[in-house]
Amino acid sequence: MNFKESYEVVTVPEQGIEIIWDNFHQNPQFFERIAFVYQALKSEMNAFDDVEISMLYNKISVLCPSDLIEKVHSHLAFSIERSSGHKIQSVHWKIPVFYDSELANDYSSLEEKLNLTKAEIIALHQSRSYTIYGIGFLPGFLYMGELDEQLKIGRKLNPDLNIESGSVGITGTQTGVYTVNSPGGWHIIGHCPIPFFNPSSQNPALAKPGDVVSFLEIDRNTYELIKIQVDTTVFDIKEYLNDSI
Amino acid sequence: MIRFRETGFYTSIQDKGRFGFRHLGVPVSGALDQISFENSNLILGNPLNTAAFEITMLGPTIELLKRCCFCVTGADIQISLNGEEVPMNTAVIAEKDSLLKIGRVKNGLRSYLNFKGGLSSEVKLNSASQFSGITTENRVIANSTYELKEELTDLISDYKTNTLIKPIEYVSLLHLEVYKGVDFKLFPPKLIESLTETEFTIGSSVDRMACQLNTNSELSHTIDRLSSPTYVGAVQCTPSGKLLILMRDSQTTGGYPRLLQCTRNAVNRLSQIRPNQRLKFVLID
Repeated sequence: MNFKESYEVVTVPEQGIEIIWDNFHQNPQFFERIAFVYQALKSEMNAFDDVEISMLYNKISVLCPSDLIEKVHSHLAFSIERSSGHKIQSVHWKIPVFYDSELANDYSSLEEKLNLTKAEIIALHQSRSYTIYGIGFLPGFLYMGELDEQLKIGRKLNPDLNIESGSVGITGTQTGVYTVNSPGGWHIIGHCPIPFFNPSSQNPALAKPGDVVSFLEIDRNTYELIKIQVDTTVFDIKEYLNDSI
Repeated sequence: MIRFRETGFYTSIQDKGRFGFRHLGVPVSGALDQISFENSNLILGNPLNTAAFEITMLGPTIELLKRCCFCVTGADIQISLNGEEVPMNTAVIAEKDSLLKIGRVKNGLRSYLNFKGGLSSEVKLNSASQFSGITTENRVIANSTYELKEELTDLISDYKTNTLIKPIEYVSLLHLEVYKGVDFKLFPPKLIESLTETEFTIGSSVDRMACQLNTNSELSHTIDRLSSPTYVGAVQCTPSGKLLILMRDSQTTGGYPRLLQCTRNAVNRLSQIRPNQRLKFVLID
């Protein structure tokens, strides 16, 4: 399928447009180009205050006043044209996780359902790096995939009423870190001491769609040390995580 | 300063909303009935984005510890100042140490209490709108105090009322104007006929995130797609055929197909409708 010909633009009445690439499952290589178009559109439209551009998987959403739609269309066509052969700006994040069974009490059911030991689950979760497909669900929540097939498991039938911020969950082929306390149906396998979202900063989330994440196991002492650093605000996320690729 | 002696059923601080952070999963939030909210600022001569208290069903009791000027707009609600009834949609001057008691909503669901000059409250990501995970609290809690930003001079003894603004009226059947939604064409064409002919009732859940409609299973489907962006006013259809209309605190992404899309004004009107009220969709182009 040709990237330039396999998208459609749908009107979001009174609000803007949505650009959808069909057949995304058959064409995973489209994602990098969609992320490129997203970044290009965002920087082109940066000068306008009342424009909101977001993306998730195979869709880019542009909310803007109707008099800017034409401008968006022309930038869109241009960035789609340029998207072949361009590499997107991407950061590789190394996220420390304390894979514990004290805080994350889903291991016994997971071991049974997946027919894997806890050690195998942890090893498989760390075995690859994940693409950030978009941000949503909760402020700063990263949609990440694809998990190893062996870790594939449906949502919990009865969602937990309160999943603590920092919990690392898996469901389907996705993995994610809860950014605020929230109800949720994902299976929890560990905890991350680093806040993914800081509403007190004008730049509240550091990662962006197209970035890559891998998880790094830490022990309880390191987990608690980083937590103290975060609480006392001496923690510098860049020092730990940033590794441009 | 003002102090909340009682908070009422659900009172939160809201303004026009939080813009510029949607791509990070931050909902727009803001007053659900933007027209009534804006009216409160027009009546008081405030900048139009001055934050107000959004009151749901039952209002708060507030000690006004400073001379001030306030008004209440939106759903028709009982208001008493030191035991005396005061009108809606009117700038009212309260002397220092007055007691403002806002009672039950008579018609509609949400009223807006605003103060001349506005109040000092936490601003996060350029907005005062309260939302879990963004502001410290997602609603006003008992005994909270807020400073008023403006000193009301003794020279002002009265304000003219804006008589053009009418309280929200009760409608037994709400005709809600909707467009085709982004995922409309995933559904069978015959469905739309039955959709515009059906009279729905509003379900028991009408919060700031979504308004749920009572439906039968005719709308059930097996559409299963990747999660998508969502829009305020989108009418989502769950696999079991439930209809959910997204309000301003809804998450920015979601998995259910987006069957219809309300007009902006339909969202304002919907924010004043109560559980068990009846609703019909009117499809526009």
